[in-house]
Amino acid sequence: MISINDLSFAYDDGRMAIEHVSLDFKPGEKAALVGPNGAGKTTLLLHLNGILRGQGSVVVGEQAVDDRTIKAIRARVGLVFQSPDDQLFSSSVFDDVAYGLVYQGEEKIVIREKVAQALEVVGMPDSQARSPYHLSLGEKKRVALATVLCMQPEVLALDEPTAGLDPRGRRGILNLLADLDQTLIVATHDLEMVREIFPRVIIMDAGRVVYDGETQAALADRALLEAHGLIG
Amino acid sequence: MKAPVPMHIPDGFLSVAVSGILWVVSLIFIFIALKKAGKEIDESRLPLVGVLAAAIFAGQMLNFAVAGGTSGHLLGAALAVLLVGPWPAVLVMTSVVTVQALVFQDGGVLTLGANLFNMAIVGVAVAYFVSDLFKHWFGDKRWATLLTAFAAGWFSIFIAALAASLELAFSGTSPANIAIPAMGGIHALIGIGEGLITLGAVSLIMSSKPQLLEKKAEEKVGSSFVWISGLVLTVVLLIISPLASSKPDGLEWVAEKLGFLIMAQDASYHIIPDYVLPGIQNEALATIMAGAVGVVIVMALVLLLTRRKTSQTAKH
Amino acid sequence: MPVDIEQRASYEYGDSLLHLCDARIKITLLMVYLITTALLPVGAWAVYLLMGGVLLIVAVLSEIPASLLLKRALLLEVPILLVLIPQIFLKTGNFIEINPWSGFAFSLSLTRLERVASLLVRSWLSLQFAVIIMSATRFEDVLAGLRACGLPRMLTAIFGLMWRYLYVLLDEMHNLTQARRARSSTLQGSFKQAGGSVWWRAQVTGGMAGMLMLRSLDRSQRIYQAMQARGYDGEIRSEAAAIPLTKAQYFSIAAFILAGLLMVLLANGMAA
Ligand SMILES: Nc1ncnc2c1ncn2[C@@H]1O[C@H](COP(=O)(O)OP(=O)(O)O)[C@@H](O)[C@H]1O
Ligand SMILES: [Mg+2]
Repeated sequence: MISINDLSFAYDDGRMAIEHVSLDFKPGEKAALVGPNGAGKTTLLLHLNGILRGQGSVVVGEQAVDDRTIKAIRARVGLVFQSPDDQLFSSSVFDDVAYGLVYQGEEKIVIREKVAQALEVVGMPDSQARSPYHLSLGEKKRVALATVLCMQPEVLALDEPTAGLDPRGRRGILNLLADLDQTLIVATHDLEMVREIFPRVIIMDAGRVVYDGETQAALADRALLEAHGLIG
Repeated sequence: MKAPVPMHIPDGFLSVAVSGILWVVSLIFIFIALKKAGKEIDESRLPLVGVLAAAIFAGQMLNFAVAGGTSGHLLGAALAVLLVGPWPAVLVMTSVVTVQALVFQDGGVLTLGANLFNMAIVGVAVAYFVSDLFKHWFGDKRWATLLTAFAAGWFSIFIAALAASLELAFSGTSPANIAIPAMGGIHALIGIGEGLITLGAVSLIMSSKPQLLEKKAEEKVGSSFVWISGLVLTVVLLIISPLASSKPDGLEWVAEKLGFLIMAQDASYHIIPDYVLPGIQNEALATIMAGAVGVVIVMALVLLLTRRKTSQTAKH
Repeated sequence: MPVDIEQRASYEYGDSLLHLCDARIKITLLMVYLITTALLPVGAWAVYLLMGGVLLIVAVLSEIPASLLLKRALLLEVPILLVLIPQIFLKTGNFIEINPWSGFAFSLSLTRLERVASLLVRSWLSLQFAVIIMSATRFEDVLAGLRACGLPRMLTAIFGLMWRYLYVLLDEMHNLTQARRARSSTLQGSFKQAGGSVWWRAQVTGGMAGMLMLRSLDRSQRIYQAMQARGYDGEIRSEAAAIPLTKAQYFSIAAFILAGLLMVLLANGMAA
């Protein structure tokens, strides 16, 4: 589904944020991306639909990410940012969820339908007229997910979807993720969630992939987890 | 917690002619700014302008005591210019001033054109002109950058206040010899607060993200229009204001001839107005004294009001 | 900034006639009222009263609690008023000498007094009318109305973004100031600020402003990325399309303008 080949990227200040990353994801696969703060998880996710373009290649399906394919790829890979305050920039929940659909050139009736459907899925069916500002963090995160789900992407890339949530909010998101059948690539610090939902885990540290394999084996390896700051 | 700034002119304080003319001038400027921002600057400026406008609005809540209860706080035109360059700054300040008027009734709707002119155009153009001039003179050493920030902040406030007071005088709302010294005087003080906050902000940004302050060469080319506007506004307002305040009748006479004033009853322009200040016969001296009295009264009342407000907030 | 956001926080929920009225109609009504008020001559007290009557009717139509409107009614731009006051002591027009005790005298210009009073009344009427209209209109509707009246797309989008992030950043601002207050011991209700010189305080305040600006620059970059991720391509699109005005709505706009003209003529006729 997605294949990343020898990808490296440096921000303006010249330091490498990710270095020589190569990964493959099969359709329907659920993979977690873990690692300490600053490991490069967010940077990597931003490459999946061409927000950032580093050296090396990213191929989605059979399309390489470049100027010509970018529109199609953004429709195929849905990206949810860590802070819903960055993801939700419109003045009503409806406008925010509809945003991507408007850019896809959908008909008005279709937009209404898809927005309602996506909000239903995330359990926020009655929130269309509300302002995203007035939602709780848990609700914001659900709506942020809906803004991408409504576009029916094949791949979902989520950045720390459970960070900052209370136990009930976290459980809600967990149940939601478990029910999705898209390809899931999720950056997180929540090892409990990884254990529960993701059969595959990728550990990053200082911009490099240091482990890529079965979750069970990784979580059983205390030395590995400690070496990369995943347990205290 | 907030100190009042008499910069936002409410409805009713400007004649329809003055409001109308400044609406047209402001719209032309904003139109050019939109064209420039849409073409020259990449589209990532859209959220930049919106969020920066919100930040400047929020930053206007920041204040600190200067002296005797006056507090310094932010208008933001200079900071916007230093961060994003003149044209986007015009849009940032336009958003701030417009939303303040529409939603919070801070400044009138009919007078919005004038308030946009003073804060989004005069403020920005003057800040740009002054900062560019200072950079040219003093280079970009650390102290020079800080001095530039202070000067851009102070001048943007002071010149904008002169523009506002001339508008009030032209509208017949307040005679020039009261409006100009009073507005100019209090804003010369408020400008110090603006300058210091701008300086503090620039100093922080210099130490954490200096690349933001290095303006790109290509940005300057498209901005010569703003630069020249800043030069002209600064020079003209600095010359006109003292002239007008020493000859208040002259200004009212001009305004009346131009049809700016619709005042049927007030046929008293030929009487030389002066304050009854015992013992002062000299006309020029009386004018200066008049200005001083105006400033003192305004200051005293502002102090009283801020004092009341501060103690009220403190109780919460 | 001179206003207290919480105090003026604009929109009040409701389903009154005024709330339900099309935003474009309300915007025209507001403009007509403001222009009319600005055109009224000095001392047309009877017409001011009429305009006050119109204000009252609209206030009743809005069904916003009187207590709330009264609270907002006290908001006047105080400092700028102070620029007005000194002129009543000028020896201009029709003035009287007041000599409260020997050796001290001042003059009071009745002409200027009437002029200042007229100005204050008109300014108050305008402000109150704007407050009521904006209390009964959601900002989104104001924006859509302005867009329909010709506000450029880009400005509409910028205002919308600004509105959305205003509250987010005000929250951050609030946290910053609280953190500052928690660490500094300001004597409450007094101007004696504990902790450092003006210079130092300015640096701290400026630093907070700088921090706010930096955060908002970072945030604007992330918002831009989030927009791109959902297909934003530099064109602003929106699915809201304006419904054309009905005949009745056009008619009411014409009626407002006519009424405004009448008021101005009436006031000038009475003054002459
Ligand atoms: N906008 C940016 N500008 C400069 N450096 C950045 C930016 N975003 C992230 N970085 C740097 O890149 C590295 C990787 O960051 P990130 O991808 O956000 O890590 P993670 O998401 O794993 O915490 C860090 O060293 C971080 O400081
Ligand atoms: Mg991250």
